Amino acid sequence: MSQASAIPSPRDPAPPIAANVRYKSRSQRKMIDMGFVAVCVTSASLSIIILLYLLASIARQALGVNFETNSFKNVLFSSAFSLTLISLIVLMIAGFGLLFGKRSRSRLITVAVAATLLVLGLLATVSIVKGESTYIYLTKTFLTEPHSYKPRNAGMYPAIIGSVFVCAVCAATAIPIGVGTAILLEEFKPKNNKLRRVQSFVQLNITNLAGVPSIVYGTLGLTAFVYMFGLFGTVNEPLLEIGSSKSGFYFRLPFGRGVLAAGLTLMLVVQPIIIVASQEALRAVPDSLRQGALALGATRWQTVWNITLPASIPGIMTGSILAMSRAIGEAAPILVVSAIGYIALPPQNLMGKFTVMPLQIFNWASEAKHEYHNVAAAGIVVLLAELLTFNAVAVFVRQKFTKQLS
Amino acid sequence: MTEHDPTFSTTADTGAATLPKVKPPAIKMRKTEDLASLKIAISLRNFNSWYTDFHALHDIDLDIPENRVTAFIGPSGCGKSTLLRWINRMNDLIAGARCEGTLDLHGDNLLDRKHDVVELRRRVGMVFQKPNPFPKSIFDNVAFGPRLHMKMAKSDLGDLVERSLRQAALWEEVKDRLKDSALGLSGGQQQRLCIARAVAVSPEVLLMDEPCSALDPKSTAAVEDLISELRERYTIVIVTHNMQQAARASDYTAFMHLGDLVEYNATEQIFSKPENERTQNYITGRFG
Ligand SMILES: Nc1ncnc2c1ncn2[C@@H]1O[C@H](COP(=O)(O)OP(=O)(O)OP(=O)(O)O)[C@@H](O)[C@H]1O
Ligand SMILES: [Mg+2]
Repeated sequence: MSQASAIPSPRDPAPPIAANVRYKSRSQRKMIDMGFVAVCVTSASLSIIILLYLLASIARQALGVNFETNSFKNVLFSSAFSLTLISLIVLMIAGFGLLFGKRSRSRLITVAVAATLLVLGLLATVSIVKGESTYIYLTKTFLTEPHSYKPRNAGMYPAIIGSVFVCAVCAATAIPIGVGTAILLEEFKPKNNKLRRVQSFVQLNITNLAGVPSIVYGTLGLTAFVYMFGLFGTVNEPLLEIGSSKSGFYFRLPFGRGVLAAGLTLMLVVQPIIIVASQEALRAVPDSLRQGALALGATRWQTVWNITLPASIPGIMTGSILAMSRAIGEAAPILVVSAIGYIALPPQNLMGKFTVMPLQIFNWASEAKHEYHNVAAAGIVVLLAELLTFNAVAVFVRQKFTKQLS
Repeated sequence: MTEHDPTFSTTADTGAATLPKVKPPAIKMRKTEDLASLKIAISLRNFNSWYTDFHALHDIDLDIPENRVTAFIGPSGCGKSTLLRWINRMNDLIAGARCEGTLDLHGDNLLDRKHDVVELRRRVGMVFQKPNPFPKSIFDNVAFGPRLHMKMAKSDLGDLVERSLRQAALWEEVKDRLKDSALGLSGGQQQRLCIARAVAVSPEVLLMDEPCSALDPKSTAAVEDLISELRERYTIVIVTHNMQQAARASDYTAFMHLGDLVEYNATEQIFSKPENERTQNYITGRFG
């Protein structure tokens, strides 16, 4: 009976809670709920925009140094550069794994590091041994220069920054909307029969949309975002313009063939992927946790915000990252909505002309000069390195953040 | 552990008459109480409930006294959980579940469409059959309800968490690891954590649906001790399949069968001289 002293006597008149506690009123709780929604959406969008913007500016500054092209030394350097860059990223991940993860996880990551280094080392060796090949173009300037009429000088800098811009718009719109939709479909299932039918209709169509060819979304984006159904004048004579097209802050209606229209089009492409992945993640949260929260007097939103969403965030993040790697590799819908022609500069604002990596690769591959085909291959190496990094991050997120739920 | 008489026989095949002898003294003390003399917390009249077309509860009339432990017993599928879940409207979450009749908590009609279920569930806490701690720290589990409902300073919240854990007889075991995940606790500790979590928002009523069915005898004893500690502070309704538990821990017992409330009386009465033959058969283990 050692515990007896710890337990207050049943007749102890002191109530468990101080008398001066005030309970929140119903309208206050509603306000808090709405606040949660607002905070959720804005913070998610903002953090993604800021992160991607930072990445872009770092890349620009870090790679802004000029290097002589075409020398054998340069080839060696470029191979080593990409090798170090990528292995550095993976090593950082492994470092985190070793610091915070369990042994088995860090071992897994070490294997991943070794594999990446091996593949890239092989690529570097091949590039040094072979004279004229893909890797001759994979120089440092390849990442810092625009397309050139000399294959040796061609680079994909505007395309890389363009991809970052477009993906930033895509992530900032697709992730909040997709996760929100998944929450609505999974957590707010209607009890009313008619609404239930509407819900299952929507559900069915989201699954269908995941299978629609992306070029279809391209034409949809062309009408809906580039021309905006002709509701606001034409692309060349926009109805509304705010700021100058040369400055960083420029907005117009219709959006025209700019970053915003392309990002929103990609949003349509990846939306079903994010929704389905997030739904899976939400469904994996045991119902007993929801019931526990609801039985304590949590509103449905409080339950989602405090219990369901935190428990499913690893799955949602993994799905979102994989959706982004899909977005970064899409060429077809971008081909439809982007301006055709030589793009020498990265986009200056959300409405600016742009090109993206897959599109630049496509353009090189369709050049008549055969050297450009090797340039295109070099572009593919860069694109794949980026995708591998995305996927590595996704694996890491899943490994690191997945926790036991019950 | 005075409440657990080792001589209490599991298979009471000798008949109900022998049962009062092994009753714990705490219950004997209460046997004289007449329901009419007690304040009623929850009152049901003509209460019917359906799952789509299935008629799960038939014309239930029941008065649950304040600050006493009321046990629901009966064979599996007789509607004990259904009745319990109506008291905090958890059945609202089940598509097709509906009810008719009156269900009052201290005179408030709980079935009123406009009744604030969030407020109701703060007033009526629930402990589930399977312990369901949130995948958060022990502290955050207990602080979850208060954070939802109350405006309080951090230090007050810490005090409240400690008080709630003490009430659930868990404080001594977890005071050094409040920041650890609640999932690292044993099943019995998790269940007591769930009780602490429910108690933290000062409910008026505590509903427990087979709270000990997933626990070993030692944890069961701890939870039963806890119920007897809490009985004067809260109105407790407990569903159990364990006859000894009902006899030990409750003041009033309702026996249900196939959606009917067959017999409702002081626990002493139900276990010594049940009026209905079905009750007699059930508590002596002849069916169920
Ligand atoms: N969600 C539901 N949908 C349809 N029918 C249900 C549902 N839940 C329970 N029922 C039915 O209602 C009846 C009462 O169920 P309830 O869960 O209340 O029984 P119980 O007395 O708690 O049983 P047990 O002791 O096994 O927990 C059962 O016949 C059951 O099949
Ligand atoms: Mg039950």
